[in-house]
Amino acid sequence: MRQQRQTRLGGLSGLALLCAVLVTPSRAADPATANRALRFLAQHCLSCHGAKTQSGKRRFDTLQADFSRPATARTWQAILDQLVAGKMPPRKQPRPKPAAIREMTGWITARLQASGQLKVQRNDAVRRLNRREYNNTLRDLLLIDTSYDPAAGFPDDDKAEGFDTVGAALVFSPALLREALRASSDAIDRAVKFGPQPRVRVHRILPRQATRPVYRTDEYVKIVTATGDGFQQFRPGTKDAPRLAQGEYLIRVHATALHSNFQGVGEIDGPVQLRIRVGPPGKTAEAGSRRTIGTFEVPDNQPRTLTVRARFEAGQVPIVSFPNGHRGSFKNLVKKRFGPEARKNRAPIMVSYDGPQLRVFWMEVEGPLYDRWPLPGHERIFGRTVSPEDPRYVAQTLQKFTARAFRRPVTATDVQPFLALYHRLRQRGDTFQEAIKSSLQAVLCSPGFLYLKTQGGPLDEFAIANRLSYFLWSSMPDERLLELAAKGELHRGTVRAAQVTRLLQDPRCEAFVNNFTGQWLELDQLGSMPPDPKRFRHYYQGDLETAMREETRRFFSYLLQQNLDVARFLDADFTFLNQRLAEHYGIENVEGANFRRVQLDPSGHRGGVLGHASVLTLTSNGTVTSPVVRGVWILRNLMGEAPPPPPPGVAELEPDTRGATTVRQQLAKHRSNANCASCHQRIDPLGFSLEHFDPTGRWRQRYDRRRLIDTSGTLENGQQLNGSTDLKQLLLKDRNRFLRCLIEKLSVYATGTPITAGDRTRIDALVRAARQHNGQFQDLLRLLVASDRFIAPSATGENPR
Amino acid sequence: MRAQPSGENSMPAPTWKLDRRTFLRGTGVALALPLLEATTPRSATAAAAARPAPRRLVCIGSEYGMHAPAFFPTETGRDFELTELLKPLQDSRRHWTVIEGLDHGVGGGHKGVQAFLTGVRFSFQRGGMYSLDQYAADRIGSETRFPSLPLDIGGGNSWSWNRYGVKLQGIGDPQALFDRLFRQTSKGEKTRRRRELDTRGSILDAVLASARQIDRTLGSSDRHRFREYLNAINETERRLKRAGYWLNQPKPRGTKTGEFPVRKGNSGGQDKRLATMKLMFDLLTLALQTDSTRIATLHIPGGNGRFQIDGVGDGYHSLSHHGQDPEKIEQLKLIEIEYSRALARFLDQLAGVSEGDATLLENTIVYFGSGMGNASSHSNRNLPVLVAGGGFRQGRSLKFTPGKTPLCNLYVSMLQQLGIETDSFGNATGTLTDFA
Repeated sequence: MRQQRQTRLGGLSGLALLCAVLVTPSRAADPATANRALRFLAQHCLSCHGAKTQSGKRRFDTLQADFSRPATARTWQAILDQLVAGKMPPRKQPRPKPAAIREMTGWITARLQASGQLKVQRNDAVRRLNRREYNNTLRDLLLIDTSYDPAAGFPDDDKAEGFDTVGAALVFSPALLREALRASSDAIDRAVKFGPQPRVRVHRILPRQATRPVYRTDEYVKIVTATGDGFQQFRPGTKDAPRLAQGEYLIRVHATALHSNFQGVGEIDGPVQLRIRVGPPGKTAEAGSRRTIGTFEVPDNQPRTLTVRARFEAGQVPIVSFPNGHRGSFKNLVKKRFGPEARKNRAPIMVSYDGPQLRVFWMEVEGPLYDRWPLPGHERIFGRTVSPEDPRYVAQTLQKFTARAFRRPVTATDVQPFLALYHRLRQRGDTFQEAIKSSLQAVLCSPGFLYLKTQGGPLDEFAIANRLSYFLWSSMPDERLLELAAKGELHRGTVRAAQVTRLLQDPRCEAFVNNFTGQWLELDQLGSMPPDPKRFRHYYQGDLETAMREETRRFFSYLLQQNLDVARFLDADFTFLNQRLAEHYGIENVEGANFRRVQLDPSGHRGGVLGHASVLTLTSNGTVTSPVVRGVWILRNLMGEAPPPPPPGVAELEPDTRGATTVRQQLAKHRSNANCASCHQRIDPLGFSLEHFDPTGRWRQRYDRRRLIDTSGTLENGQQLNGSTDLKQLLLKDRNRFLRCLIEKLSVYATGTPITAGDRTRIDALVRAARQHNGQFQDLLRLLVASDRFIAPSATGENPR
Repeated sequence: MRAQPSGENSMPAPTWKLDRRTFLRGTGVALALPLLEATTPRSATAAAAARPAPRRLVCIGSEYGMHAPAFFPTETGRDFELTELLKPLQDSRRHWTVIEGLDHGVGGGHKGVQAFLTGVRFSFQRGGMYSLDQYAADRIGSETRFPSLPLDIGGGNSWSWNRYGVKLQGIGDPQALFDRLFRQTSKGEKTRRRRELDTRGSILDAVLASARQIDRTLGSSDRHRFREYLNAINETERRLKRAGYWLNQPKPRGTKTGEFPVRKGNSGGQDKRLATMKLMFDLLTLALQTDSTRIATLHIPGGNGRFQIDGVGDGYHSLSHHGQDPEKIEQLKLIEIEYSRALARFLDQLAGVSEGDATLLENTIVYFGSGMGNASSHSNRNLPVLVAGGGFRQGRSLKFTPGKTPLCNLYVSMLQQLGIETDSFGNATGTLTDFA
């Protein structure tokens, strides 16, 4: 059978070990076996983990066979992990007999299973929605566009186990409540609009209303550079700007280009581009407060009207610029082209300027536009007709909304506080509209909305519906899921598996692709330590960073939608590229900004995520590559091992950019220290095999003229490793290990609880089942969701509190 | 639960001691210029002088630390030679002390920097992060309009983590800070705000009632986590009460809304970040002087932006990773010298304001430091530490054996100096020897 072909690690058959792990615990409490286990420790482990030395801070001479203590059980678990992986004892030490190892691993597993340690953590704990989930839930509940990021002011969500879905890390604070109060009020204002539809108005903005452009006539604003001078834009001034309410508007821009083919100083590549952005009026703006709506190519000498639809926040205006114009100020342009003297008298040059330019004649904003009135969210809450003075209508409206917001059926008691609030505010003199809005706001700030699972005990049907939808959509369950929950169907694994198929066909599953690549592969980190702009100028050209992220995202999405073997993450003969990224990789014949599937040449080193520039960049510190960081990334995300942080007191590596030493020489010194060696022996060789990729993921033959790259290394178990191909082979050979890692990550992300000793057998079973399904991605998700681990905490399903 | 900060129900009258009408008039304009140079320090009124002056704490920290070889003096004691980075502080040297050899014993590089005021490496565990300033603010911050002011340069970052382990948002925009400190609330605005506070209070009542229903159904472990939520409601209600109280108190008066050149994108040819930093220091002086707050932090951000300083050509982050390149180190020092200058100016301002028989500086502990010891190697050991004012015995250079003394010992000394009775904070083993 294919899935039984195991790699040999440290001279042991992996299959034998796997069987050993699954030995039935008949001799679990046998004191003779316990004694033999302790003797095993004494014989093979105590010389490094005993009273004298504690390599890796592990000490076993005081270890008891008492599995009821959590700390003890965790230590035994660690021993088990090392033995199963064949990593301990280290290769220089005498090997124990395979039978002895089998007995040892069997005994530990059995004791862990038999002891109370299996229920160390429940996976049904309450947790609040994280920021992404909050936004998406508002979107689906209120039927509003949430691209404005309602949760922008929330404190950052912390992660645990690498994911922002883990309850332990999702703290609640007064700051969060304050923001939730603000965000809910704002969101309700967007969704709920009483009265007749606002009249659509057209505001035309003429050149004389522009904020001090560099050059304008009565007829047009002339824009000749992309940046500089501050005012190479057509943007209404604060006084003349139309005062727009939040909403959707049409923007029309009437413009033409001139002299796009000009050659010389100020020349541009291709046709003149016109960019429309939306942002605050006036001269200055906070960074990031302008949003690009679109960039268009404009032909020469043919005035045209471009039309786009865009969302405006209250008070925002359209802004037009020339993004591919000369980089630098007009002053700088004149100096370069006409000499330093000319720059003192630039006005005449501007009048008769014959270089590439954009002429904008006028702009128009038309709106606010509503595709439907009443707004869909409004109608969903209040129905077609509002009866403000009918107490039954008010109570029903609040009850219906609370049920949808809480994503479960609600009782009169659940609604009572909100109804009481409504009456209290009416008594104070508020109008129906004011009072009901405040009541809806209270619903959105209460735990029923902000928390997942708000009832004690194991997951009920509705909690399962929520878990499913928040796993794959990061949002609230739809009606179909709630129907199934009401019928009591979701306890059946097959029903849940079928829902996975359905949920993955919905566009909302993009959330899963983004969040899981962002956190498992750590794409969220890309850009947090950007490369040095002087040494890596190319990184800042043509939106390379976005392209990097997009490659990995599309790759993930493709494996998922095509239901391919997840081993393709480790190595694949295709990827997704656009021209910019293909150039970065030195791959020819990929043209244009659009991404497409590209067949890879095996010699190109790019197959699998370890060849993706995104991963290679985010594992560098922006200046030099770090084999340690890359090695840790591989261990953590592909091999499922979390190396401990360096012990306190260890000097950090001092990077040497002068080139006197290589990082290899520095790390070799590091490894000569036995304390460091125990971890770095595992970490460094993995990282070194990727040294041919520079800090932005480009392939390099050598560091510089003097220093050559050496990718060789020896793993702890003696295996030689040289280069990324070897690394991929190594990972592919131990495919179960990768599968286990991925399943564990998925499981943590889906359930919000860490993997514990008690999950081992279930995960083992999932790995086996996934192998039978050839590692196909969707199958794997279905298996996981159908499994007990998805809905219930412990191995047996019995987990008394 | 931790002890609640005192003074909830007995909110005192504001205690600023300035002749506020004359002093603050026109500061909106003066803020753009070196502050307080033109104004002579005012003496406190006789009535106010009868009350003991409040004690205050200002913590300033930079993401990338200070280049250690150019920061720490070689000698100890009073007669030490000023290093390059300390030279700008020459005039006030009798008011400060530089201390070498302290750290938090954590690693983590840029993540480890978060330990600056908390003493612990970043962790998500509830209450794991609790910064010095917030610890102090929870105990002595309740008498002022702002229990504490976490400030940033430009952005919204801060060094402050509250007692729930949540990082506080910093105020990075001088105009926003100015408005919060000094812009008066109009009558109409007050009525509107009162109504808003009442609505908010009613919403919280409903939310709390809903939460109580849920709380009853939870098991013990879930209930434990849920407690955070209930605490947040209680805390928010308390804040509403405070807000209602302060709404009725006038802000320090006499000024019109200031316009800041920095906001207009014109910092007079000066580097924008440095100009903003100076403005923040100016406003901070005013905030302390008017007793609007007694606790503040200032976060000096990193990032790879280039400083507009003659001789600096590379991005800040790139320079911090100088890799022993002497040219890069020179550039890095040019930036850090500017920090020292800004600090020196701030200390001079505080020393120029008298409070009773003492000066504002003598009643304010100014702590300048970082969670980063050596940015080039991402080391969080041997952190730069400079403590000024606060009534400590100053004017010295102290050295401790690296790795032996927790920086938190200094924090305990500072807390005690603020009148807070504690002998522990973070991983402190006591107070700092030879520092009082």
